[in-house]
Amino acid sequence: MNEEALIASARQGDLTAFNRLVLAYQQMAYNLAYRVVGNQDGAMDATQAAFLRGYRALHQFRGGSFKAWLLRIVTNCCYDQLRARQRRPTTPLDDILEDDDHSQLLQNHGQQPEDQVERRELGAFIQAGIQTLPNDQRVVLVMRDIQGMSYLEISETIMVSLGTIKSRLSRARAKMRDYLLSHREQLPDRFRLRGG
Amino acid sequence: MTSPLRIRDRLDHRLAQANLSAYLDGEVTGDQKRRLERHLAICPGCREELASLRDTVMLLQQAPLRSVPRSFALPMELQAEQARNRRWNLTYSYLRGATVVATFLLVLLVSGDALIGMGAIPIPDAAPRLPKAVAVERVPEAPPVVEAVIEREVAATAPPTKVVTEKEGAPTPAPEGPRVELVQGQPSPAALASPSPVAEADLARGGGAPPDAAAVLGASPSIPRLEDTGMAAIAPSEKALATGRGLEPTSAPSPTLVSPTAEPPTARPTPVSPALEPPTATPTQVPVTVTPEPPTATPTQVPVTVTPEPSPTPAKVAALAPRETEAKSVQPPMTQPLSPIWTVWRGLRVLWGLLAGLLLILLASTIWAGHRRRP
Repeated sequence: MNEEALIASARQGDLTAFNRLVLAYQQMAYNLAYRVVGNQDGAMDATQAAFLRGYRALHQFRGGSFKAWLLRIVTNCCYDQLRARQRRPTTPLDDILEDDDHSQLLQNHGQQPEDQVERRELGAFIQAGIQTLPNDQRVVLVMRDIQGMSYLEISETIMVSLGTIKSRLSRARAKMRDYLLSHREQLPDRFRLRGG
Repeated sequence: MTSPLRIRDRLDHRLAQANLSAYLDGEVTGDQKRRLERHLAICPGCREELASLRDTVMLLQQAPLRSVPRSFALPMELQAEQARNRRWNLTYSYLRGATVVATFLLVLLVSGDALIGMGAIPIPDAAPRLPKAVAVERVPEAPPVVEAVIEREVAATAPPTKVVTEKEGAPTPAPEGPRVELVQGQPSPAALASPSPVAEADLARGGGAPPDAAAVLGASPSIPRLEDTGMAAIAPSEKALATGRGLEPTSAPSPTLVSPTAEPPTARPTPVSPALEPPTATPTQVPVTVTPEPPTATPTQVPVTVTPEPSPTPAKVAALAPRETEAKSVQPPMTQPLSPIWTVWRGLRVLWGLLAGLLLILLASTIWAGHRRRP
């Protein structure tokens, strides 16, 4: 069954059809939430809330890109999480244990253990840099450079103009470059930026 | 002095600074791309910046994806809950729509009612607007004192006129009934010179009968069967007072009378033939009030002009007797059929109340359903 048929079936209340959509998009949704929120618990909460909200609001889906519609809900749930965290600042346990949790990274069976360690360090380092960005720039950077979405998809998802996407992304990349240059000694040699 | 070439380079540099990120992604226009590449060829700073941005993007793209810690599939119980929520949402939508419609209708009715009450919407028949169908028709069981007053006054002043009340039996119908006319404004000279005993008595007693007539007639809310009683002449004035419009002043004692209630309260008098008929007492008459006559009456109020007819008919006397005695009788309401617009209006008043009650129920239900539903 293709995506449109699943959406049509889910709009009639078929939860099984919607769960098939969930399985198709949960990886993307969770990674977006994790990069934006910055911790595993918050990302899980935001992702689950987004799918729940999406199921309840599926009758409001007017066609177009379901991925953009779903990721918009995920983004909004991430903002809700960030606002909640601002009100109740906590230190999630998974942030402390993150480096020891190997299972949280997608395993590439062709990689050597050393490569996997380096990539995990790189992931943590990038995540720390992303957390320095403002929320709007963070979302655009994650969607474009980590999720690989096009400018048009990002524009549809967060409902801002292409010009705004370009300027936000330009500023976000410049800040990330400055961050990576200023902390490049924490990276493995092959990931260090030249210059600076 | 800066050459045009330098100015162009400076503009290109500014363009490069703003668009290097988009240039990396191929999201610049053809013209921008040409200018950027021309500038990158001559600007080592921009080339270096472009390289660092490219490295940053490549590094970000190497960030590992995280596996999902668990499945985010929704539990199946949610399906039943969603169906329930859908029903509640549907109910809420219907209730909200019904509330809006009921509110609109109520506002429409209330505003229409207010407009009719203010007279902004003209109603052809004003008589049924009065709250009760009460007529100053006859005095079936007037107190003896009042009767004595009537007879004394009439006997003292009258030419050989037979004053007939209901108790005395059927009056003698006059071939031509007395021509009584209500005039707003100055009293007619003919009326002042009238030999009519009743009119003289009125004038002698209170400086003029019109205030009394106005008071009594204004207090009497409805005029059914006036043509039976001889109050036909006063009825238009009563209507006029009730509606606040009044009659147009008549300059001459026109030998015309105003027809009773079935007609709209226009100032145009019409002949009354039913006044000639003797009044018939109906057993359903109920005397209701005896209001005292106002002690001070100003002659500027509505006078009653009685044309010098030789013999006032019993109808006339019977018409004026209640005014003197301030006795009013309650008639069975609506002896004449209401005009359709008044029937509709009365129905709307009932609907008004029903709609207000319905609106309250709808509002409560909508609020309750709004709390029950899940957005």
